[in-house]
Amino acid sequence: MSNIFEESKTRAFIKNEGVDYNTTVTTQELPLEDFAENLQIDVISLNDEDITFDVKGIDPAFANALRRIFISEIPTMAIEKVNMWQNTSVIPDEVLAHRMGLVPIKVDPRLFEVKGKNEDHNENNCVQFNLHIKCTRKNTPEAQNRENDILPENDEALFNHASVYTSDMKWVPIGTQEEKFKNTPIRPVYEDILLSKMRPGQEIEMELMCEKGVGKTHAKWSPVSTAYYRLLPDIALKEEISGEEAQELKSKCPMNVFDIEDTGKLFVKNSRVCTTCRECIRDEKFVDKIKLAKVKNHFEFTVESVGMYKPEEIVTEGIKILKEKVKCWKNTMKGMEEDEE
Amino acid sequence: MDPDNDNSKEITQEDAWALIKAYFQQHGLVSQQISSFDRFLSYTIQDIVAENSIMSIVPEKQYAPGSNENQDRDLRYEIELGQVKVNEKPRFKEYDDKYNVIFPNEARLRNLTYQTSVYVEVTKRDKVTNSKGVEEVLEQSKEKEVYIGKVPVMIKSAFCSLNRIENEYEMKECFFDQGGYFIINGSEKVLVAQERMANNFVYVFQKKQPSKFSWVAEIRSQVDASNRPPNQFSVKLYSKGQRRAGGSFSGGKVFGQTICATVHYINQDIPIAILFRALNCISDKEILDKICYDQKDSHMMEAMRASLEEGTPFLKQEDALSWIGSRGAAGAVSREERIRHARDILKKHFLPHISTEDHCESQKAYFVGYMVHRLLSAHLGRATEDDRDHYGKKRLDMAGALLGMLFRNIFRRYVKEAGRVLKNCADRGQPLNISKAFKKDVITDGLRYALATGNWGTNAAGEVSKTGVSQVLNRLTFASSLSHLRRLNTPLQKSGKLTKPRQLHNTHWGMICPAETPEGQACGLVKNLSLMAFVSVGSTAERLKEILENYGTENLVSIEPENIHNATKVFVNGCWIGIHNDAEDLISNIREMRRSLFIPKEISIVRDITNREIKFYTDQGRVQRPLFIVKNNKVLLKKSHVERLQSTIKSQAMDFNEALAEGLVEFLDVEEEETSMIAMNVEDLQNRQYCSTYTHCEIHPSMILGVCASIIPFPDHNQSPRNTYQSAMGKQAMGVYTSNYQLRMDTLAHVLYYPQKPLVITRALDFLHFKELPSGCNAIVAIACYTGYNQEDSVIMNQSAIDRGFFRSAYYRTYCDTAKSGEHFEIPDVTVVGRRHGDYTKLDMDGLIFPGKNVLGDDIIIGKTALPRRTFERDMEYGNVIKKDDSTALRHSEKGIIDSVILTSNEDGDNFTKIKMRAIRIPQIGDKFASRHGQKGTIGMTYRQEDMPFTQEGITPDIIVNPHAIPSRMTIGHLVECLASKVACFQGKEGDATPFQDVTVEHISNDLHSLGYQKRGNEVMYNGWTGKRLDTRIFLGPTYYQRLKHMVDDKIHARSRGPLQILTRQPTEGRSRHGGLRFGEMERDCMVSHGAARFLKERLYDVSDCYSVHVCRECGLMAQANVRQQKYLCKGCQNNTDICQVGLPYACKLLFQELMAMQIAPRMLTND
Ligand code: SF4
Repeated sequence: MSNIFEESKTRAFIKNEGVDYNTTVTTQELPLEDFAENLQIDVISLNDEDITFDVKGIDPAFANALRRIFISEIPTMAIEKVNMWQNTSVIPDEVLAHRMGLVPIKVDPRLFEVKGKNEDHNENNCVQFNLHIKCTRKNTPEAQNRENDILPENDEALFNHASVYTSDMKWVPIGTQEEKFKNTPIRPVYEDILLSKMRPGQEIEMELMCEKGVGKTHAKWSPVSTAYYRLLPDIALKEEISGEEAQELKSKCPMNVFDIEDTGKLFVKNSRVCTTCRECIRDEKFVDKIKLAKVKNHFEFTVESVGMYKPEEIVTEGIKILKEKVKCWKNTMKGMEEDEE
Repeated sequence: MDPDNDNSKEITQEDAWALIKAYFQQHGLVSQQISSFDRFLSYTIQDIVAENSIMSIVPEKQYAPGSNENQDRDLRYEIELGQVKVNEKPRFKEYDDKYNVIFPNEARLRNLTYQTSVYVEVTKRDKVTNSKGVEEVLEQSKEKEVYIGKVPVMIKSAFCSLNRIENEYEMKECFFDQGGYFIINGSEKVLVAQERMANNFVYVFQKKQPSKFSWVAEIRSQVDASNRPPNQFSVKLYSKGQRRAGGSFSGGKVFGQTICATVHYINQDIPIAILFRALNCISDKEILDKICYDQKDSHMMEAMRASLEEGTPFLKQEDALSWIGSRGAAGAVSREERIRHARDILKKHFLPHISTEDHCESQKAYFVGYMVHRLLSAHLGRATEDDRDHYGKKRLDMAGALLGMLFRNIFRRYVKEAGRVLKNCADRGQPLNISKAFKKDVITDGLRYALATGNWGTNAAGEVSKTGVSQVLNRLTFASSLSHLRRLNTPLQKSGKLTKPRQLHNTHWGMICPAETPEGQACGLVKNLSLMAFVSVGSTAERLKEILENYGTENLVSIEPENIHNATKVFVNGCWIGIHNDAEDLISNIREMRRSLFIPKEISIVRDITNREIKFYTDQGRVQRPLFIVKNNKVLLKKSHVERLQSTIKSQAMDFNEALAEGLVEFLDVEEEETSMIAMNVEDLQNRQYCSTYTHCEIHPSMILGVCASIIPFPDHNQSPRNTYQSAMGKQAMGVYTSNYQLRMDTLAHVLYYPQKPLVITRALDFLHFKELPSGCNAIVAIACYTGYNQEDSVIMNQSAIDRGFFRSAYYRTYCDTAKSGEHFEIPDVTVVGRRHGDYTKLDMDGLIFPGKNVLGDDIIIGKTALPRRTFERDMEYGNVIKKDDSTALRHSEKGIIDSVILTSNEDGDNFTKIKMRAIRIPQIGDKFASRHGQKGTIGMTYRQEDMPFTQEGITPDIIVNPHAIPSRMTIGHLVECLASKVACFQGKEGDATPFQDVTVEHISNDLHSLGYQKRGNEVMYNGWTGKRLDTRIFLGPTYYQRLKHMVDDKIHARSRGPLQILTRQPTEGRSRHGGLRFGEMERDCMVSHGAARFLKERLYDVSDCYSVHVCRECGLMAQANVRQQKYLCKGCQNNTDICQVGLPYACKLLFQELMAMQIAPRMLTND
């Protein structure tokens, strides 16, 4: 009995139906040293676009603070002002400007400042792009024959610049930017984002001014497409399952958590992939045979970067911001204490 | 059939879609409108002209002294209208008399009417009756093309200019536009089909007792496709114990129930025996022969006894005729006169659909006999009462028929008028000026007026007989336009509480959409055609009658009555033409002819085996639909045909018409459907145990739905009213309403930024072009309680998604103005009087605003000045004319960017401008959204991505709806759609949500399970604020949502102070006038009961029309006051001292003054 009680401190058990009222986590006060000791971070996978890592020994408030910062408080550069000189394409000005705003820009935002309200654009708070493009008819006989125009799949073959891509955006260095970013020229993260489609005679000319901002203000400044975590599943067999029942259980799990030994005995092959769909314990007969739980303080984080930062940078930047916040909070507290005195 | 050929295997239900595709390729969705209009312009117009073709003008004899030339001759002019010529392309005459071919888009932009000229060949003959009394033609002249007027042209009809253009988009038309509407003064008009009872049908009804009659058989008889109002004729059976009222017979008492007939123009009911004798059936046996086909049928004979006894005093035809004639309108004088009068009525106004010629008595007698037979059969309990709401007895007047009616009326008036003018000419001895007599504008304006207002025709009293026939085409969403073009209206009965005509009838199956109808007053009266329903255009019956004769139908005139009993009666369009001895043979022959398209496909062949009748219908307005033909419980359409249908190679391919011609499918109307055995599915045919005599098979049961209901995924899982709600809501969804929206100038339009085609789709959507012009987005929807901001049908929306362009839309509004004579587009300068308080500085040099300009409410966008109504030349010279401002300002509650400006000239050559404004609408709290299952809701809160709950895969919902929206509404389809969308999403395939197929929830669940998700679509989620795992699993998945046109920005309204009405000085009403909010009766009652008198006074007086007057205390009437000089005077009393000031509402003061103007003196008696 006490075993279960002990376990329920660290594990959230999952019932086969209804509401699980046991996930509310109450963490007891923990001395900083213990926390530091218990905390463990393992990177599980890392590539250019996303990172998955485990954090053990924190509670949800902590994990969630990080997640929220990743999404909405790490500054990036995004197009904020568009000077539209010419737009005869089918996309109205506002729509085009909005599309431009969403283009991720490959530039280190840490090298820029947030533009003040009354400040002008300058080399320290702004990156400028120009986009000037005109669609013309190619000089081939097919292109000159207007009857071929109908088929949309033809347009690349018939016209120059039938599609406008982010690669058509030209970086215009301001001041010393050219020198500063000699080695890492500023460009859109992806070259092949389709901005607009055009037909001969149509033209787009605009100046795009990027400013620094955070995802809280507008989602375009968010450095991640999403950042999330989940609790690590903990699955065990309470009793031995073999034979037909083993087969049945194995096929029940959509994630192939279970497998069968040569001896015909069921075993938990890979508990991490479990989605907690509860399919395995839906049938009454398995409820008591399987322990389906989540480790309460073990979080598996995934951060998917849009491309302005490397995924691991986002994590470190996020932690930095969290630190800043804590410091700020500490100072405020201190100030309050002093006030009281 | 070649048994070895693998391709001639039986088809599956899936293969039916190849045929459905072919059907829509050939017919489109508005072919009922177009084919009906084509028939009107190609044939009906000619028929109408021919009906009124000959005008005879006899000049009044003039005894002019001196000229004796023509005195001796009886000169008569004859004008004959011959061949009609309709101009092929709609043309437009510019103000400078140039003719241009116009295209629809130009007509729309310039507010022109899309119409074409009609010419008639006119022959004039001068005729003289010579001394021998023989007429001879003196002179004959022909005018080939006399212009009579213009007729509006339906878009995409045979007479539309677009017909000769290969690519519509070159003429700036939408690629997907189906046509089927008119353009009148620049606005698109639809002629909504009108439903009516069919003519020439015999209906037998039981009368509710107590009543004089127990049973009635009636018919509304009308000559084929003529415009004369139908003549009602009925045969009635008296109730037990009821005697003929005012019976003036000398025949003594008659016992038993007698039968009488009501004939048009005869004021009194005619005993049936008298009617028969008048129709030359003299002896009782002759009469009985007409009624009881079976000589041994003693029950029916007995039932006739009383009626025959009643007729005994009138044994001669003349006697009977005289009896009838004396009860006619004339009341006629002599016996001969009476008989002639009665003969005339019986010939012309009695059952005219049979004949209006001489010698048709026996045919008419047979028909009356038939009606009596039906009446007595019902009376004897052998047949039941007829069903008024049976759809086979309904006819739809489509655009062509409606225009035909209108044109006939106008043309008659027109010819009469022309005759009068010509007669005037002739009377004065002038030469007849034909082109002058035929006025140019009567027809043009008459048609245009009706189409522009929807007031269809006038009755004898000059009142409008039908309104709302022509409506402005709904252009909110592509589907709403389509649905509008397939709409039906049932006139009358608006307020009637009768529920029966509003209810869905069994016979609506496959013809009328069971879901799509408005709620409220017009519920069930306004209907919509099902997808594959088609309306017959009509063909002549003559050819069919000939064929019937050739195939051994014996004409009624030449048969022996005894033979009727054992033969089958043959009817064509409700008229009994004869009998046939081998019904089976006849039916199968004619049916084969129809199946090979030897006779038109729309002729319907109905065999009523129990009553031994065969009925053929060729008239227009019958709803029909195609069905597979089944022989030996096998569909005739085989795999090999399906392959040909799908083939892209021209030589092998088969289109729908070929399928018709090869006898694989055919059109059935409702009446014929009743005599067919139709299998629901191809698979059902195998079940021989249930039925082995199927004649047809449903092409696909989902084709019973109409345009709007076809958008709903899994409608077969929803509670039925929800489908009705969605059908109404789908019309308010924004999307891309037409692909040429940038080139159009609609007064109001919404376009969704990033429309998506749904993940889960019904098969029918392919034909509605919903995938090309969609109206919604696939949103990730969670059904959850999260905070409390989605209660009572509101939803929580993801702000980050909105930032990224989720459900953004553009809103267009067009303003237009004409500079009539004396008016100019220019910037009104300071000298102009009546300037608005808006901003004039945004105007360009020409007085119009320019594209790309940002505009706010009340900004002037069209600057226009008008010269005063009376200007004197002198003033003009000195340049001291004071011009009036007549500018147009932007609506005060709107703001946006000028999208485009056009300046052109209209029909009268006046300058004419249209200015289109564009604004962006970003979803915000209060905007309305709906799924495709009648689940609508407004945004109650927006949360950013980090605040939204997330799954263990990082998915955050775009929309969170409240679970309380589901159980009471039982929209299971909504949940199934979500589940199927989730599967479709992971499989990268389109989900199939076509109703009445065998996809089950279990299938979808299993698919989802195999993809690694919880079977039923539930997911573990984490709270966005606390980071804790939510205690329940959340049902989450993509669901197609629509943004509806109702947005807070168009509704938000508040006022602290503002404009007043001039008359009452009370605040104006309505948002567009910046009006106040009404403190109404109920609010007043509330305050009264609360005792808040001061507050009430403030609301009703201080804040409304507070005013004060000075009252003479002597007479109590209002006195003059000069407050500044402190001088007061009551003129009547010469009292300038005893005057007091009284506060009262301005409306009250107004009332007092109005009373005073009526010689009533309201006196205000003031006491201190
Ligand atoms: S909860 Fe679902 S995923 Fe997890 S082990 Fe059970 S069946 Fe597999």
